[in-house]
Amino acid sequence: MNDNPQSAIRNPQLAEWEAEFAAAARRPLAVRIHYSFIRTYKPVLDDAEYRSFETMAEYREWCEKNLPPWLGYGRSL
Amino acid sequence: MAARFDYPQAQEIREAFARHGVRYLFLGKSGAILLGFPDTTQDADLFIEKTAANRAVLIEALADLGFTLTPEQAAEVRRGKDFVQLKNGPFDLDLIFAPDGIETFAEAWERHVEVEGFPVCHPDDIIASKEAANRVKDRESLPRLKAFRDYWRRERRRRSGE
Repeated sequence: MNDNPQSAIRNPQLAEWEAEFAAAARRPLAVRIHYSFIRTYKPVLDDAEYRSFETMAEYREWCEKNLPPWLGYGRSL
Repeated sequence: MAARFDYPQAQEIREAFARHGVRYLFLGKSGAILLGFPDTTQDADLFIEKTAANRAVLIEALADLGFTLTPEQAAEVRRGKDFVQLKNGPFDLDLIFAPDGIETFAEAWERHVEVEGFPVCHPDDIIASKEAANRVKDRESLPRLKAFRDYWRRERRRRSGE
């Protein structure tokens, strides 16, 4: 865990992220939600109006077997 | 395709679930976004307490929101499946009754954060569930999400010390 603000100075990636977090914190919640929820078609996943699974393990297995790997819902590409 | 989830839809969930007394928490990236995490996602993930009474009021709240469950689908929700994905309503909704990486709803509720009346899982629980799920998309987002958790904690401490 990194709770040291000084480390942001040493890590340029972290500094960039923290600048993004600070900018987001200045926006009202409604604006944050408006720009964060996007809508794109996800093949297979979006092709049924309802799905249910007895267990999360069953859902994960269904994702592995049925979704295109590039969607990122599996454990490997 | 359903409409994009936006602030009015979040408000509708909050109001309908409050009206019916549904016990729930925003989870996943949608929860993190409510906490201030600047990223994108496509649907709202709700962690629903898995009790018979809660599942019954959930079905009523979903009807209020405009989700058209068939009698068979409503029976499945009432019976208590662990994961239900709804794309038959005004927006997409994932209902999660037993998320990976979180032991019980009661424990998550103990730690939860309120954001403008929205009950949200603590960032530690959001991270724990993504670590346990261990999907490609989770592994990609975890380093930045962990950095956000650390920033969020620091800011929270700073504000409480002001």
